[in-house]
Order: sequence, then C-alpha cells, then structure tokens
Amino acid sequence: MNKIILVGNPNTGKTTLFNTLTHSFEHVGNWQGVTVADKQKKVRIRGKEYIFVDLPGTFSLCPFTDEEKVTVDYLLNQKYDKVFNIVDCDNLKRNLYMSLQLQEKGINTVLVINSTIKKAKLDIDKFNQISCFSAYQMSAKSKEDIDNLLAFKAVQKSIPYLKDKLVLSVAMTVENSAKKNNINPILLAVNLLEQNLSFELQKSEMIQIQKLLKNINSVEYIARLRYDYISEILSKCYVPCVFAESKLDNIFLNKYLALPIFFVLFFLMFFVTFSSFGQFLSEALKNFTNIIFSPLMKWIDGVAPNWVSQLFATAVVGGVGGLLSFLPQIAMLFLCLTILEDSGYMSRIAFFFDDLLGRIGLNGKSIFSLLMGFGCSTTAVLTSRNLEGNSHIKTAMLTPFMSCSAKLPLFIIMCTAFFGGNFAIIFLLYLINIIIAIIISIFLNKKYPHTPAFIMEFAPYRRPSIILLLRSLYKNCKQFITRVGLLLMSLSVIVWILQNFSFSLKYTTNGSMLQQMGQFISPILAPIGLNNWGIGASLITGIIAKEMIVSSIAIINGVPNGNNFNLAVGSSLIAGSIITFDTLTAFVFMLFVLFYMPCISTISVLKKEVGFKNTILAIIIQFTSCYLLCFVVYNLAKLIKIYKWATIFIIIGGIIIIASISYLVFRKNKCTHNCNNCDLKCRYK
Amino acid sequence: MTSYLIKLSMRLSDGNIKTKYLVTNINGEVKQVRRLCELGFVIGSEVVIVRKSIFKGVLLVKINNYLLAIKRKQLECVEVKCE
Repeated sequence: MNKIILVGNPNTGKTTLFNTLTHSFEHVGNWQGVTVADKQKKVRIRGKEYIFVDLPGTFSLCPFTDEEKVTVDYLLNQKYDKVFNIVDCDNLKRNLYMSLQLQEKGINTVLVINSTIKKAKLDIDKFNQISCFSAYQMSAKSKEDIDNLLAFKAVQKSIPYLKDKLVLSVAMTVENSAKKNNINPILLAVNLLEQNLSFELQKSEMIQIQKLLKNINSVEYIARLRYDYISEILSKCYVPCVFAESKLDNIFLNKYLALPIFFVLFFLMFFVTFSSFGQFLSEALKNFTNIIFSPLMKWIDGVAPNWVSQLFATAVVGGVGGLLSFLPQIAMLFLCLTILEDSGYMSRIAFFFDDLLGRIGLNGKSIFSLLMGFGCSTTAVLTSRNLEGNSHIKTAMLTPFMSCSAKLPLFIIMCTAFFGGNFAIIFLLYLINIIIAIIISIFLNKKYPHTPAFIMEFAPYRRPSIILLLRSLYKNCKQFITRVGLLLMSLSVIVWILQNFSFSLKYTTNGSMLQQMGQFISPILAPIGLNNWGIGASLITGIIAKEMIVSSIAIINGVPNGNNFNLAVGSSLIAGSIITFDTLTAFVFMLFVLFYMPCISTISVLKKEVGFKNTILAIIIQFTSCYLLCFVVYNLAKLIKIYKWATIFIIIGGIIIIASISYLVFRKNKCTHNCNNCDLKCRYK
Repeated sequence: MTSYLIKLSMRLSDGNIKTKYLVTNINGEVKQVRRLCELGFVIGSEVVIVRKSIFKGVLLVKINNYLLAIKRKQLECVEVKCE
C-alpha cells in the first residue's frame, strides 16, 4: 500500500487536491488555517490502494504555531512512502522555501505546482532541468491529471547551495556529533545554522562553532542561501504575475468604512437567514415532511399499541420531524459563512480587527474561529489552533460564547410566539453575546497575557465558486439531517421514555423520571424566573445537543403533530401546558440558552485543545456569567414593572457599562514602563 | 544630519506607506527572526508597506510578490534602508 502525505504552505490548495484525489468533500476555504488536524482516507485508484493524508499548512519545517507542529511532527516522525508538496504557482518564491527544506532532509518529494488560478508563467521542463526539484504542474481540481501525478517519480538531485563554504566548514566541525546521532553532517550543519537542534553538541565542537559563526547571523545566512538559490532558478524559467493590490481593498479596508461594512454584512447574513426567504423554504419543507409522515402515522395508529403510537407521534414526528423544518434557515447561515470564507474577505476582517481584538487580548485571526462559532462551536474551537501562543487558549475558550446554529430553532419559535416575529430581538441577543464575550476576554487577559504575534498571508479576492457553495450546502444539510435522524432521534426517544415512565417503570406522566430530574434543578433556576421543572429538564437535554431543547419542549408539552411545528410549539408555550412563559421569562430563557453551557461535543474538543483545567474554567465562567446576566435582567425588569422611574437609572447604568467597554477597547495605549506586551508607540516615550 | 542618518537605516516598523525599502539587517529573538527570514525578510530583499491598520498595530507589506499582514511589533527587528 502507498501512503502519500500532502504538505505545503497555508492556502495553496492541499485540501482541494486531497478532495480531488479521494473524491471527498473536506472543508476548504480561501484563508489560511482551514485544515488544523491530519485527515486521512484510503482509496483505490486503478487497482492500487493508496492512503492520502492531508496535513495543516506550514511555512517551514520549524513550527511556529500548534497546527504547524502537527504537520512537522508527522513529517519527521511518521512512516510514509511519498510526499506531495503542493505549491501555488503565483507565489512560487516563498512556497519553494519549504520545498527546499524537504529536499535537504532527503524526503521523497514530488513538487505539485498548483496552477488553478494561474497568472504567472512557468516553463516547467526547464524548471525540472535546472532545479533540484521534481515538479509536476497541474490544477488541484483536475481529475485528468491524477494518473500522471501518481505515476510521476521523484528523482534525488544534489542541492548546490549546500556546498557553501560556511555550511561545509560547520559540517566538518560537527562530524563526530553527527556520527554519534546517526545524522548526515550537512543536515546537522543546516539545523545548527537554523538554530533548530534537538540535541546538544560536544563541548569542543561548540567552541569551534561559536568561533566560526562569530559576527554572522546564521539564521538569516541559511535563509538567504535558500532564497538566493530560488531566485537564481526562477529568473531563468519563471515570469511572475504583475502584482497589484485589489481596488476592493480601498473600500473594504478603508479607515472609516471597514467597520460599518463589516456590520452591514453581518446584519445582512442574519437578515437572509431569518427573513421571509428562509421561512418560505421552511414552509415548503414542512409540507413535504407532512406528506411522508401523515400516512405513516395512520398506519402505526392502526397496528401498534397506544404508547408506541404516542412515542412515534410526539418524539419522532413532533420532536425530530419539527426540527427538520429548520433545515433551510441553518443551510442559509452556513451558505453565508461559506461565501464569506471563499471570497477572501476573512483575511481582511482579521487584518482590521487585529488592532481592536489586540486590546482585549485576542488576535486578528481569532475572528475566524469566532465567526465560525455562529455555525458550529465544535468545529470552530478546532480552528483556533492556527493562532499563536496564548491567543489559541483564549480564542478556544471564547468561541462557545458565540451562539451556534443549533440554537436557531428555539430562537425562531420563541421570537414568533412572544415578540410578534420581530427578529431584531435575535439580533439583539447576538449583540449581547458578543459584548459578554468581550468582557470575559478582558478578564481572561489577566490570566493569559497577550502575545503580540500576528502573521497572515493575504488571500486574494475570489468569486465564490458555485460548485463549492453547492458542495458545502450539500455537506452541511447532510450533516444536519443525519444528526437529526440518528443522534437527535434516539435522544428524543430517550427523553420521551424519561417523560412518560416513572423510576418504577410505570407508564405515567405524573412523577416521571424527567419530572423528578427537572424538579431537582429548578430551585437553581428560580432566581432567574425559570422556576419550572420542564425548563430545567429541557436545559439538561440541551447540554447533550442544543437542538434537543426544542425537541424536549415539544415532547414535554405534548405538542400535537399538526401542520405547523413552529406555531404549535409557540402557542403551547403561551398557556395551558407544562412549560409556559410570559414575555419577560421568554426573553430570560433565550438569554440563558444563548450561552449557559457548551454542548458535550464542544466540551470534548475544548478539552483536547486547552486541557482539562481550562475547560472546567471555561464552563464555570460561561455558566456564572450567563446566570448573573439573566439574574440582573430578570430582576431589573421586575423592578421597572413596579417602579417606572428606575428605567432612567438602568439606562444610565447601561450607558456607563458600554462606555467603559468602548474605552477599554478603543483607548490609546499609554505605556509608561518598558513592557513587552504593548505594541503601540510606547518606545517613543 | 540626524534625520538623514535615520533615513539611511531604520526599522521597517517605522516605515512609510508605499515606499520601497531594502532589508539591511535582521535582529532579535531567534524564533521571530527565523519566521521572518522564512517569509522572505532576508538581507537585500525588497519590501513595500502597502497599508496600515486602523490603529497602525498591523502592517500589510508586499514582499516577494505577495501580501503579508504582520504585527508592527514583529517588524521592529527588521532594519531597512530607502531604495
């Protein structure tokens, strides 16, 4: 079996090639750091078995971030047969730097020159002739080239710049250590010059090396050797594209327009998701599911015992079938996120947000994870891995604060029932969410000081490809449907059983297992006005998966399976069922669901990314801040009901809070001491 | 006279927009320097600052015919001169 791994700089098309090779739909995007973990897949091509491994992008073999470490560790410590090093034809000079490092290490590498969006001109035959690479030029999307690529054999050639005087003399000096550690002396010399050694040299060698490298910046020296070599080759066979900054940047990165444009786009995204278009599709889907479920229901009613048909009606049709009708809205949200990702706008957002996010201890690239958090927290937490230093931990801990798409069904139902379908309420919730995240981040900054590092390649603007959009739409819909069909279906059945059987396994709704569990935690929720066992129970199920909150409410309230799930659940919440709200408690409940706790899969990913202690800390912070906020909102609103004049004080208090946050974010840093954390003008002081 | 000397050799972080600079030296913490070198900041390479962010904390520079967004603080270790 052939094991081939795919490596290269960020955003060069590794995952695109991986998808072409393995016929899969892995997540691709037009920004660096989309892939953060190794992914592998077995395929059979022309009777031969291959395993392809897709790795996160890295600029070099000396890792700088955690995701780069994944790649370098894999390259240096795992077994494989061949490496496909994907480079971008338009950015060949920098891309070849890492390719040279691979050549130096003697790794069997085929250089795949990706020319999907080719503007530069390369004479590939001449390139192969004069360079130390074995290169194959193709488009990462082209299936026709795959056979040729797999048949392409890499040839080991000598690397001329390794015969440099200094490299050779260093290699001669460290010959003994090289022999001892079973490593090529020239390779050891290169590592030494790069100051990237994994073991210590002998003392005598060390002294000699120090003499040799006196007054020489060895790290720069070896980098310059490589770049000089690359320039020499490229000057003979490569015409780079004429480079011009996109005119769009003058608008999107304008000093005054950048932020307003971002907020307009952000608002537009929610408008498209919640507006009539999403609802129209939702209606259509509801009618479709009814056509399937109604005859099935009738058949089951005739054949099965009473409780089975009850189970089917409430848990399967009511709880799960109802959730399916929210598919269009969720699909719209993901579609908007994909357009954002593929257009190249993401790197612009990261660029102009870095300043502001830096003030609250985050990194510009944090915005990637935070925005993805509106889709699904679990995958978003993973993307935080491409951040440098402490920003990784902080972003991972803050991402679950962003309201994920699983909470959409609940918000839509509550909003229609209690706020007359005014979706500005949902927008308000998202804003509150972001403000809380900012405050938490300022506090986290004390525990994890800010590491001022931010390096990001600017992805070019691109018209989002229709095929890619359709693919991602298909993938997200499929994921949602399988999730609803498998996980949520079985959970709903479990909730139904818990709701309809007591601990002594009697078929009863009074004193059921779920009721007793709900009653156990309802005293905790009493101070925020949610004193109802049903609410407690639904919140518990929400920890497993956020969609379950709606399902559980439908099951507990015994929502009849009618035409419109959304309205049926909504009207059951107003009066006459177990779980009911008034306008105030409805708002508090939405606020509580917004970020009371991450779901189980997010918790497990969080544990992997930031460790057990930080995960516990994140959960505690999230729960307490959410609880406090709900407590304050609920009690202030009650106060206003009794004393109308209190409104003025509350408005003043709100303005003070918002003003102080804005001050913290927008203030000009004045640094009176000699600190390393301030990236502004302190050294002029 | 002093301003003339500063113009001869300065830090890239103090550079102006749309001026061509040549890297003359690079000094600082090994990990940072290594990353900068890998990205193309080696002696003799050409750099242009294309844009600064709102609070000037991040610079957008053009090097080796591509655009790189990087924190100003990190560019303090790159010494340049006007071409």
